[in-house]
Formats: sequence, structure tokens, C-alpha cells
Amino acid sequence: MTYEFLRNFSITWGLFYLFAAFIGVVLVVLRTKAKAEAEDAANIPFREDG
Amino acid sequence: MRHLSGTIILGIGTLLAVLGAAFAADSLFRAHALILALTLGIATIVMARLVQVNGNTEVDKSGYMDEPIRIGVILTVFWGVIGFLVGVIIATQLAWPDFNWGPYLNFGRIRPVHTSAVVFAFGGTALMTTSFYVVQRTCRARLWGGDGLAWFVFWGYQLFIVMAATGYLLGITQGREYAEPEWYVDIWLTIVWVAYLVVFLGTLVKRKEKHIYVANWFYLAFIVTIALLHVVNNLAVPVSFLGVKSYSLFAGVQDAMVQWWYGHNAVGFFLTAGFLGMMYYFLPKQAQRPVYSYRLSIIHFWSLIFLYIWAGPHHLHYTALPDWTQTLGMAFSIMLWMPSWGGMINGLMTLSGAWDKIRTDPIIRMMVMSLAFYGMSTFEGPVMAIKAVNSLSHYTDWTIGHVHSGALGWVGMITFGSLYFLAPRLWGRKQLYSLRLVNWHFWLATLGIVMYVSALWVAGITQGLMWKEYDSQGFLVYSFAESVAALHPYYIIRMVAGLLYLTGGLIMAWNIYKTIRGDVRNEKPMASPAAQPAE
Repeated sequence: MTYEFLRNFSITWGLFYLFAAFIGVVLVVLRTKAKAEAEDAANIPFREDG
Repeated sequence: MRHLSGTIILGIGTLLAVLGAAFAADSLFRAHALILALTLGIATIVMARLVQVNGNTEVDKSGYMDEPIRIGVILTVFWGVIGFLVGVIIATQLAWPDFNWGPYLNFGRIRPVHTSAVVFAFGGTALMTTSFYVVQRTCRARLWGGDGLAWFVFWGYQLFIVMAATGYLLGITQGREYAEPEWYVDIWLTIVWVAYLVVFLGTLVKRKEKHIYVANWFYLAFIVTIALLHVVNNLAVPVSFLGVKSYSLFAGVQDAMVQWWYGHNAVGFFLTAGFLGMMYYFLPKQAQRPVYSYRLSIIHFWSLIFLYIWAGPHHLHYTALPDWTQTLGMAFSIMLWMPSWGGMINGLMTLSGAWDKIRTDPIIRMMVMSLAFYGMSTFEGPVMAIKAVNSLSHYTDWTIGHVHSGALGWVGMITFGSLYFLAPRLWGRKQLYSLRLVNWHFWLATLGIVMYVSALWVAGITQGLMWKEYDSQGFLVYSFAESVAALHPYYIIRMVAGLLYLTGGLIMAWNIYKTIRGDVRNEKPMASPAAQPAE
């Protein structure tokens, strides 16, 4: 495994991986069902006093 | 019998420390081992006095484990005051070098005492304490692993702080920024940190709530990443088994890169992700309304942790580091604007529809100011990471000013707000001793930060410009000593600013002490909620 190989791997597949992960998160968050789930989750701190 | 096994383990630890001192390879290790023996010896005696031979030794384990959190609140306040005080001392030393009392209290030795005291002692204790509080409440589960494991994590971390600080005073350092403790203290921290991760994960696993609340994601990212960073950055070969000296596994520019990969992510995951966990729980609780957009908080989380880890090379612009690595660090730093501002807006908009709380509730005011400084310092950071700007700002006091706008503004203020939230609840008091004193703390701290940051902006840019000034013949116009002399007034302003911040910290200590005692100050209420707007 040479330096050049690592460098090329990181600027192609590494970049693709990070970008795909980000798009994936955005898609998961924007699902129609996610809105109700998010509203429910946002209220977790208020279910318990103290 | 409760506490018996703990006493025995501490006793054995004391004995091992004494043996370490007896067979030490150098005098520094001997001194450090004796300090360890003394600390563990005192702990053994305290623990032995807690041993209950007879009577009811059952402990109620149905509720949350709040005892370490109570002690953690007190210790956070204590370490905060110590850290700010040492900061004022080193600021004084920079303004008037006569205040260097060598060898133990030289600037070179107590500067890491200041940085470690504020970051790891004050910040770390605050994170550990609040993470235990938040994870139990949002999972509706008691800490996993039994009380013994949680106490080990808590006191083990405090032992790390004591060993780190006393080591610096003795002159023991491996010379890596924010990671100065030598190999044996690093190994101890690794053990404690893995136990911390186990307690946190175990509690998440046994949660009674279906979803893991976003604050816990940030806390978990902080714990996991710090474990990774700490281990890799401290890979080193000790010279002898019972000696202080070790050599890094890396050399040259690789060593520098590992150091700043650690150093920047200590900022990113310790001082940012961890405290964002605090923000996502305590701000909604204090404002009594859920976070503005929970979905934005999830995008905030994933983009922040994916981007931050690549930003470290911006500390090594114009060095032997390959150009593409420098550019990569710069590009990722600039992309960090997005999650940072997304998070800030998410926090601030939580108050949407309840902006009057900024006027009536000084704790909310503190949290809002903290978010404002989060926004400002995460805007300034990427700007400084741009190579052209960095050529002016690097190695100057601008950098120190930037760090303090993040540390005093963001980290300090969100912690103070959380402590004021916690104190009455943990000790079962109806309210804080005094809201007016919180307000005093707020203004002293804010004034201190603004003075500090603006003084060091001027100082840093002055320095940067003086160093780069050439005459027509190509000679440097100023000697280095001339640039030092030019900074004297700003160093005095910085010291005064630190004094203001320290005074605020002392007021907080008093307020929390009185709250714990159950006193309530006889004072005029802050503002009546029904106040009419001005015509």
C-alpha cells in the first residue's frame, strides 16, 4: 500500500463515502414518518421531572 | 459490608505507589509516586471510616444514582475557580515577568496547569457530571454497572487530574499540547475512560425510552472519540518501567500531525460535542420547551462529527506537512460553518415565542450568551483556518483570543447555566439562593470575555503585522523584543479581564454553596413577567 494509493483512495472513495453518508442522514431525517418520531423524541426530557 | 472492598483496593494501590517510589528509576518518578501514595493513603483512610460493619447496609437502588452528580457539581465549581485563578496568575506573569517564581511556579510549568485545569478538570468534570445526570433522566434508567463502577469512573478521573497537575509542577511533561501527562498517567486515564464508556453504553442499552435522546448522541460521540484520540496521540515507548520519560511512537511531521489531529479534536469533541450534549438537554429544560427542530439536531450531529475529525491540519499551515493535507484541513474547517451555525440557530430558536425569558431569567440569558459565543467562535475559527488569514494570525495572540471566546464564552457559560439548573434540583431546594447574583455573574463574565477577546485581537494583529514588516532593503523592521514590548498594555487588559471572569466564578461558588445550604436571599425579583412593553 503506497502513499499514492492511499491519497487517491481518500480523495475518491473516501470523499464519496462521506458525501453518501451525509445524503443518507438527510434522507432518513426527511422521511415523512420522521416528523412525528422527532416530535416525540424532542419531548423525552419532559417526561420525567427533576 | 459496603466500602470494604473499596478500602482494600485503595490500600493495595497505596502500597503499590510506595513500592513504585522505592524502586523508581529517577527522582521525579519517586516524587510523583509519593504524591500518588499520599493521595491514595488519604482516600483509604476516608474510605475506611465509611465502612459500616453493622446495621442496615442496604442502599436504595431504585432511583437514579445522583450522589456522584452532587459531588461533581461541587467539584466543577471548585476546579473552575482554580482554573480561572491560575489563568489570572499566568496572565500576570506575561504582563510582569517578575511574577515567575521558579522553578515550580514558572510560566512554563503552570501554563499547562491552567489549560488542563479549565479543560479537563472544570470542563471534564462538568461533562462527566452532566452526562450521568442526562443519560439517567432521558433513558429513565439508573447508571449501569452498579454503584462501584460509577464511583470508580468519577474518582478515577479526579485522580488523573491530581496526577496531571502535580506532574506539571514537578516538571514532568511529554510536551504534547493538551496531552502533557506522561505515559503512566495516560494509561490510567485510558482505563478510567473505557470504564466511563462502559457505564454510559450500559445505561443506554438498558433504557426504558425507545429513542436515544440527541443529547446522549453528543455525549457518546465525545466519550468514544476522546478514547480514540487519547490512545493514538499518546502511543509512546517509556524509557524505563518506573521512570517518567517516554518517546513518541511517531517522528517529525507525522508526530506533529498526530498531535494536532488530537489537539483539534480535543476542541471538537471535548469542548464542542460534549457541551452540545449539555446544551440540547439543559436549554430545553430551562426554557421549558422542546428543542426548535429535533430533525435539525440530528443533521447537526452527523455533519459535525463527520467534518470535525478532518480539520486538524489547519494547525500546521506552511509547515513540512504536505500541501494537500493543509488544504484538506482548511476546506473541512470552512465546511464546519454549516453544522456549527445550524446548531446555534437550533438552540437560539428554541426560545422562539418565549424571548421574554432572556429578560426575566438570567440562567436562560447565560445559555443564550453561550450560544452566541458558540456561533462567533465557530465563525472565527474557519476564518483563521484559511491559509491567507492564518499567515497573519498563526503564532500570535489572536489564536489565544479565539480559544478563549470559545472556552470562556461557549463552554464556560453553558456550564454555568447547567450548574445553576442542577443545584436546586439535586439538593431538593425550591430555588437558587439568588437570581440577582446569577445576573452579576452573567455581566462580570460577559464583560470579562469581551475585554479579553478584543484585547487579544488587537494584540494578535499588532504582533502579526510587526513580524511581517520589511523595509525597502528587505530587512525586518522590528526585532522580536519590540513586538513583545508593544503588547504590554493588552496583556494588562487581559489580566484584568480574567480577574472579572474569576470574580464571576467566585460569586457562583457562593451562590451554589448557599443554595446547597437551603438559604434564599431576600431580594427584589428580577423582573415581573407581566411587565408592560415601553410605549
